[in-house]
Amino acid sequence: MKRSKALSLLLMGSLTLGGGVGCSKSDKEQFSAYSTVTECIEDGKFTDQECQEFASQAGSQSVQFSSREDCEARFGEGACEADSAAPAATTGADSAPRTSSWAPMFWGFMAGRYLAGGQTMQGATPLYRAGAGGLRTPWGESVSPDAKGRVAPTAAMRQNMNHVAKPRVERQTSRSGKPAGGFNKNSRSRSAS
Amino acid sequence: MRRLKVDPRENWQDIARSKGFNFHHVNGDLYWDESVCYAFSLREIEEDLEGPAQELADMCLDLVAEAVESERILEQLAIPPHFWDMTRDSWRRNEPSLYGRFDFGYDGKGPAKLYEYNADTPTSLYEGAYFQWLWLEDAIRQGILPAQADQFNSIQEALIETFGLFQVDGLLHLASVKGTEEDRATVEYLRDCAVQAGLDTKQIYMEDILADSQGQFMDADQEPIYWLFKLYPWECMLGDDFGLLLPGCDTTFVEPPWKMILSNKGLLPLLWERHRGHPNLLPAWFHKPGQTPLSDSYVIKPLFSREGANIRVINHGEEIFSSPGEYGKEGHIAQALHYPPNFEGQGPVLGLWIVNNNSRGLSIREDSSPITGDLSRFVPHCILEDG
Repeated sequence: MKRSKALSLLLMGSLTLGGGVGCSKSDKEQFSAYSTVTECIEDGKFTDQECQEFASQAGSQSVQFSSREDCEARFGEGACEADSAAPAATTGADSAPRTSSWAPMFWGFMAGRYLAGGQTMQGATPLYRAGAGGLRTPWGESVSPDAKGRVAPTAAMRQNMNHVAKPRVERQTSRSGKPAGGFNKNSRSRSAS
Repeated sequence: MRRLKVDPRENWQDIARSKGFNFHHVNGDLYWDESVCYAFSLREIEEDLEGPAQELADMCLDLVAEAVESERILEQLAIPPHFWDMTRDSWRRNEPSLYGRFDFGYDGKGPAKLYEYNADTPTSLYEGAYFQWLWLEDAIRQGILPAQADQFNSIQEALIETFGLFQVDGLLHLASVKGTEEDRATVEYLRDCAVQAGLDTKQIYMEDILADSQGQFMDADQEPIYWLFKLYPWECMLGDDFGLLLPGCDTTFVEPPWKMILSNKGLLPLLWERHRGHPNLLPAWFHKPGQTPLSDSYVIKPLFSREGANIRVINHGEEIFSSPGEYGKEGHIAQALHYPPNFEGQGPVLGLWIVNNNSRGLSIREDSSPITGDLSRFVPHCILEDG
């Protein structure tokens, strides 16, 4: 037999695992979708400079696919166009020249601010137009902003934001006394794969 | 190797809840998927997976022995010189390793090919070691699988044995970072194994660790930390404020510092240079812009990266895929492109678990995208001869 005959758990299940983890949302948490930097600035939740950084951060995270099918599998039918580097292939699907690169249509970015590891993290990911309307993250997750652009973040969105988020630089007077733990600078990274 | 549709256990969500498995869905999407499983022959398991994983694990230890004595290799791996002695000493002192996971591409026909070695902080451990085992037992009991079905899995047994070998004086602290349920549960599971091995344990968060005036680490209750299991990558620790204290501290870490050499993607070219043509290795090289690649289809990966971030796929000289992220400033490696096989549109990646340097089990994640990220699904496996 290639498996263990008997296994048991002593602790797991008897504890409410993660109780509290899901409840740690802070009122500081903020996920919002913006189609332009101006929209972001006018919303007033982030500074001008932060909004500009979000836009360039989102712009640097382009997704590309080798085929229309792969791209549409993630973003929906009709959501993808040949990469702009290819010869002008405006819309005609039939006569489109062969190209090796397909990408969804960029809409704007999702800015996120949240608490992790005892500090405020923030960053942005691009948002794309989904084939059936609506918006999607680079991972194909649907994003539905409310009228004010606010997005209710899912666990996956927060995790994906972790790839790009950085600690927010706040001008705070430092508290007196012992500094908090020193293993936290990089704790935004989910640890493992 | 076959992908079988099977009936899920009717009450599997209740079972999961009662066993502390609360992340079987991620964002409403199924993460643990028992409506399918992969079936292998015993020959495939033993000759194509278990054996090669053991051989690679041994090759990795040989490489560590060489690397700790070679400043050139430590430089190639972008390990800062301040930490070289610590890395070398941990190897010379024979500090124990608990576990790691090789990721293989395998289709049941050709040899399994090593994608990478998650040698420092692998997750999906609980679901691979325990919940997958429980699934097989239940599936046989409920008639979903025949009684002779088996599984390559003595991971938990090996974890408990290995914890029992640790010479822990006092408490074993186990730490994850805040804000991730999956990591916390992984550490909770390891703590369960350590307790079953008879150790005194305490679960904490990395962020709550303090240092005293001598630079020794303590938990939030100011108890000294002599042994620390950390589900937090070495390269992150080195860059943290406390990083500079690491060479002088009294703490024994699991995984030990020498695992830095193996969790680094630079492992792949170093193995290839030493075992060129090995059937389980893909050609790999240190990637530098402008350099002629060994192959015209390859994947560029940062030396340090997690969850499929910052991967670029080059097919016949053209970039066809890239994933976002902010890793990569330390350098990159390239590895010949080798797609996971296609089983009904799914690309399974096989995780071979190494515990105390022994090949002890298999777990599988499948994904419809070419990069296994943190949203791929975990599917169980069994050993079941064809027909």
